[in-house]
Amino acid sequence: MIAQLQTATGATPNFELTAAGWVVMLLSVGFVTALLIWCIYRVLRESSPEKVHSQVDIEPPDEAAERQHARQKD
Amino acid sequence: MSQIVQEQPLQPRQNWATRFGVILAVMGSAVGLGNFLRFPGLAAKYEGGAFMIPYFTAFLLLGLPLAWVEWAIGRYGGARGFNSSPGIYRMLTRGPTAAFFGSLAVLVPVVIYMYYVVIEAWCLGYAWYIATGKLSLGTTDKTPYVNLFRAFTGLDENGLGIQSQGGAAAILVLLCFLLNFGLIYRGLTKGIERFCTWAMPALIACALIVLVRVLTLNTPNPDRPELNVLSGLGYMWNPRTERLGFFEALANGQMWLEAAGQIFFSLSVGFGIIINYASYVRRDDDIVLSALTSAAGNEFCEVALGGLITVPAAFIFLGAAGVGGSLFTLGFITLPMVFASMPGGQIVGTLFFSLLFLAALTSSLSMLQPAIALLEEGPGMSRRVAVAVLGFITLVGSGFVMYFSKDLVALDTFDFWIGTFCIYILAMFQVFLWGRAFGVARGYEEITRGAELHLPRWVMYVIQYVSPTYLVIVFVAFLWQQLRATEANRFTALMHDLPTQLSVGFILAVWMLFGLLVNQSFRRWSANHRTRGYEVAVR
Repeated sequence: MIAQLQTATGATPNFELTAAGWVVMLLSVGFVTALLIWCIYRVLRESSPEKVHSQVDIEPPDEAAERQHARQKD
Repeated sequence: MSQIVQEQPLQPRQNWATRFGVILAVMGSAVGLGNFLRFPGLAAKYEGGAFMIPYFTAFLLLGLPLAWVEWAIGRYGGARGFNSSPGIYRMLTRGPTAAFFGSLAVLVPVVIYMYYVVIEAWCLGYAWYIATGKLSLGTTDKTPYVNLFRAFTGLDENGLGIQSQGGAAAILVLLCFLLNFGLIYRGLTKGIERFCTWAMPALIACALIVLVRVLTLNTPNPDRPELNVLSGLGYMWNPRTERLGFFEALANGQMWLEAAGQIFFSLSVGFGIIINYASYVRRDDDIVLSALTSAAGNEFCEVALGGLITVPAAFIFLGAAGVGGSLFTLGFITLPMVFASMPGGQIVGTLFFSLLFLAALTSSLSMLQPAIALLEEGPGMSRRVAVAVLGFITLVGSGFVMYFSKDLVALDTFDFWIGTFCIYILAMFQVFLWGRAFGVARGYEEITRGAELHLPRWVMYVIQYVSPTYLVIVFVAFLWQQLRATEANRFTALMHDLPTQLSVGFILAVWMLFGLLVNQSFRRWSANHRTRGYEVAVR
């Protein structure tokens, strides 16, 4: 079955992964993977309990105060 | 009593519940079909190794800086009570012109949604077809797969898209509509955030399973030992120098243009979505890290998953002659043929199309929120009414796309004028607006407020000078290329082709509608300004 498919699409030159190909692939994949892991590590490290928001946290207190102040002025 | 009290009360401020929630939502918005189909196709076309240099250059000089700008503009506006891009632009410039222009930031995601949800339905349909064995159409001939795709999408005649497969395609689109609007109706945290929190890890898990299957295929046909996993990876990643030297390959301007375009569209910058999502973060959230994490997640899905799955899998079974073609050819003709040949292909194929569906769903979901924000914030609609109004508008648009299905003309026209042309315009507008409103020093202060991650100050010069220049060069080159195109010239089609003209007319009608909504919004925005008394950023 597979042989039929490949015969239908014609002969293919050799594209074996070369040393340069390994370097490009490992650098590219390694860079994005390392970047993501590092970012997640930093997010987890920064996410102290005070920085985690909750549903209760509808409006920052300073904005609430400003809005109340404006209402009082009216 | 003052006018402020007479105005309807402002919507209560919404916030993301968790930091990971917003990161996954932005990541979900960015990760889409392009990560798994367009990027691998481009990298293989430009011979892997050489392509990655312009690709990462564009990521560092264009994509990431623009993402920081959008996050910062969004957070700045959100902290002052604005969630819609027109409202934020108006606040930044104190004038109505920018707000009217900002209606583009609502138009772009809404029109993209109109055709994207149709493609999303195709992914769902193909996942179902593979799971039920209906896509095992043989392994030697492409024709049945081509015919199925033509029938499924109604490619042969206008009107067939709605009736195709006994109306199955239309039912799938309706199902996707219900899913999208159901989640949007549930709101920011209970809908978008909760969904993305499980959908993104599920998508990555599906992709990892497919990746393991592809990398363990070894040599599926012993009679053709040259077609194996290593040669599949070689086809994708080798810097091939038989025809051109490495540096000659790097001098290909077209490659730089396409690499920049890929980064630009992949990170969803210029869509008006990041600004809206970022407007729901708190004013001291670390957006430097959040933007970087979202972008890194997108790049991981694109380079590490998409780059190792799609093209190597197609090469192993079809050879170099079978790889290539458009995004649709690779996704809906080549890959189903590959899965039909692959041991365990039914499961792997179902997983692959499911992950495409999830990627599309998390993206389409994000395209609705900017318009919902405008409808709630401007004319003061309740969420229920806003969802109903937007649902009607987008249903008409998707119906239009499905009706004008011959050669996918409506989809293609929407994608060119909105999904490409307007995105460039919007991104350029945003980056110039940022430069005018903030400049280098205040811009640095704004972006880094609350940031624990140190951002080098020279990045601001990149944002202020390099990114806009890069963007303008890419846009001019893109326009020049389009104007000179002898085949599929969009400007010629606009002059002579009726479905193209109708499609552009439809876009303009929707734009006018959003313009009217923006006009209706000024009174409430002014009230918001007076109530809050914020100083705007304009210098």
